[in-house]
Amino acid sequence: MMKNAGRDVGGAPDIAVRQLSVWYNQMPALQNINLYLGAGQVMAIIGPSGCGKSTFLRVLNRMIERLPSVRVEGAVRIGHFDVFDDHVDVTGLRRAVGMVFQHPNPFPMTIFDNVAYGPRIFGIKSSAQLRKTVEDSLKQASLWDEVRGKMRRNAETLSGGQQQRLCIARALAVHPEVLLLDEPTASLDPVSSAKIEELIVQFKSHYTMIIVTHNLQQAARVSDVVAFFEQGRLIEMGYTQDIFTAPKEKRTEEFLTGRFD
Amino acid sequence: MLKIDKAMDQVTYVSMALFAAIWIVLIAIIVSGAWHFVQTHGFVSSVASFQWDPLQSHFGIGSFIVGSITVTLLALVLAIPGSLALGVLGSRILQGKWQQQFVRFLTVFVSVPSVLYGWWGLTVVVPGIRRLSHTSGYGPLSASIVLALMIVPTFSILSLNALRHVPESYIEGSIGLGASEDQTLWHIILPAARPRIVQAALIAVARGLGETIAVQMVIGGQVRITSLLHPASTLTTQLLTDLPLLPVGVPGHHVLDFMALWLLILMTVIVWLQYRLRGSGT
Amino acid sequence: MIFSRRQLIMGLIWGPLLASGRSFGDLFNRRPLVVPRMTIMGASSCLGYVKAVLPQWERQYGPVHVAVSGGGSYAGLRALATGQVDIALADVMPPPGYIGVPVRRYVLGRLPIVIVAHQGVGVKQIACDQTRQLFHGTITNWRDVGGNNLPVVVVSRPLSSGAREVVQTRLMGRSQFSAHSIIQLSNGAVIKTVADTPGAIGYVEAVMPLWRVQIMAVGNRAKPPEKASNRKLYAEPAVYIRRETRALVISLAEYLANDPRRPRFGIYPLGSEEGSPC
Repeated sequence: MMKNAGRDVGGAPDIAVRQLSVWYNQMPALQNINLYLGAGQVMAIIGPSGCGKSTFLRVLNRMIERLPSVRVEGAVRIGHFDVFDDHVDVTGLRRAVGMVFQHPNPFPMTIFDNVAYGPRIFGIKSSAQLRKTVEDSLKQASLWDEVRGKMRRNAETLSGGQQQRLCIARALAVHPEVLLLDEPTASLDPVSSAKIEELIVQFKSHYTMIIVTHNLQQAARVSDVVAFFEQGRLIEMGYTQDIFTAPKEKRTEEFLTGRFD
Repeated sequence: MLKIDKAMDQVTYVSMALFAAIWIVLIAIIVSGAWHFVQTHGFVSSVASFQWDPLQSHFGIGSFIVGSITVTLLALVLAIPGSLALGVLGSRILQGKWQQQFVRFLTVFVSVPSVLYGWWGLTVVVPGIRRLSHTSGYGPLSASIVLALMIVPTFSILSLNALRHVPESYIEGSIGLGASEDQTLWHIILPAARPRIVQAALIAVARGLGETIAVQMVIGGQVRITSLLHPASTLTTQLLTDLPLLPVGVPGHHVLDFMALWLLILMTVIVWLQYRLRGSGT
Repeated sequence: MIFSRRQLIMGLIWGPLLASGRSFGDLFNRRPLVVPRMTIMGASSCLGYVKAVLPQWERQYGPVHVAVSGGGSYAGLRALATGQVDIALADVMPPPGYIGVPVRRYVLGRLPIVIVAHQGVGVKQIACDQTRQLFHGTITNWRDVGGNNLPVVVVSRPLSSGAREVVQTRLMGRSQFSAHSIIQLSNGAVIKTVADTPGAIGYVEAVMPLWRVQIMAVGNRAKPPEKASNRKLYAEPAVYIRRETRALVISLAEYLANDPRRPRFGIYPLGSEEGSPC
């Protein structure tokens, strides 16, 4: 994976994590994580529940800081953002690092307003420009054909899968460089899941992506790199093919073969 | 066993029916009294008239209806900013144990008896208004301020709960896009909580409309409303004032029923609005 | 299950009903009571006096219990007419036909009504005409009656007040109280309002110490309230009973009308009436 280092792929940045540890109320949630993800690559994070996968995602865009009594140590670099530097532009960071959540969470407003929310926050007022951004984002998320002409409907009238793609469009509307996907298909039916997976494959090399998933097949299908987390530690990381065919660590093998306690 | 069960069921239904009947009787007493009044004095002519002199058979209650609506709405307008601010403070800024203490603190003020608010109005609000306006200080404006202060605790606790009920996922979605906490508050949290906040406002209005003693102490009690700064009356304060003048059996007593009926009408409008406004939104 | 939800609902509904039903039953069931009961209701200005002298009478007449409640003159007279109470206290003259049953009236005495003003108004004496105009709202500044430059604030009582009736009929005549006057429900509230509001003028029944306010001498003569029986501004509180009533009730009415402690409560015996100032 080091071969992509430094190469700029479509503006997508690389991600470097050094000696990252996180504590909730003195309880360690992540311990001494070191990893590197090349620009434009897709990393799948797998591991048992409570292994710190979601915590890891929330560190990358500093969402973790919204929780009370959290302590973070170590360094994270995303492209030119030194994430935990005191002077880093958090708004700019979160804008560059889009996030999609486990449960589709469209805002209680119209489809148009959902996608236009980000651009409006960043000061775009021209309605022509907003319309174009919304259309482009919805097209990118393969939702345009389904919602065109229904832009004034409440987003909550959409199906679960459509809502999740709307959330992806909403994230894309602010032109991010990184996408963090926290079990994006966990609450969806197989058809909707397949559409989301298709999107992830399409986005490859345009965005650097990290996807947390419980679905090992999904990880195998969409990712370039797999990281296996257990009890807050990074047990193993490697190319997807290598991990699934010949894991180096015994714990990884046990997890992949379902002999996991 | 089944037979007994059935019999018990029936007794329960009869009990519930009786309970409902008592309520209906209470309302019927007011309605029938008001009906007597309307038959002799007319509905429109009483409501549209501002002349109140029960000893001379002038029963115009227009002034009191206007007074009630003015005082209550003005109180609501005055209470909205503070209540929302306290609600935001308690739900989005204070954390954990501070939040609990804050809610407890507000609850204490909810349970303060209204006569204390009235007393506070007499010692602080009335002299303050007097100094600012060069009038006596007694009037609908003072009453609105006292009433606003009285409904702020209720209103802010309910708004606080409304704001707390906004799903965290909306907030995370907004923050995740790069919006600041303030932008999220304005564009996501407040709009999402609006239906419940409207409901909170209407509950506060209902409390304000029914309030008597705190308003009576500072409104001045004059039977004709002329301005916000001169003495006036509301339906409730005039009911209190003229109850001794028009005891049961005296001609004109039924105007009190008519005034009570108007309070019921205004309350019903509030409940109706609550359903209407809650329907829009989530 | 010993205590079902149904039983709970039924208990919560029927319990209070049965309890209140029993007390209602007592109300309608006029069986002879072991201890004779009597009820008094009416003007609050007399309640202090009545409550103070009652215990002695109760002791004198053995086991008898008297319940006293306020509610105002009109409510008291109305309750007497319908037979709900035995004795009514009133400081107003009921309009003709108001009671509807033959009654006996025992005058307790005269309750002076005093014109009071805020201490900062700058005058202590005003003529009757001026008083009338101040209350009416024609004179709007104390400057116009030789006082300080202060707007006049009128403080009055509701229509049900005996004091207002007296001031209306004996002082104001045909002119009305200012449409901007503040209406207060009790003597105490009037005193507090007049004391706190610069430029205020009002009237009170002198049943309490009048401090923090300026007592006005009306009609160019200063007289202390003790001599108030010589004035024209007084209420005439009276005890009303039905003509057909128990001997015990008559005895109490006569006792109340003759007890020598009345002046201590602001009620002075009838005296010779001097020429009135107004």
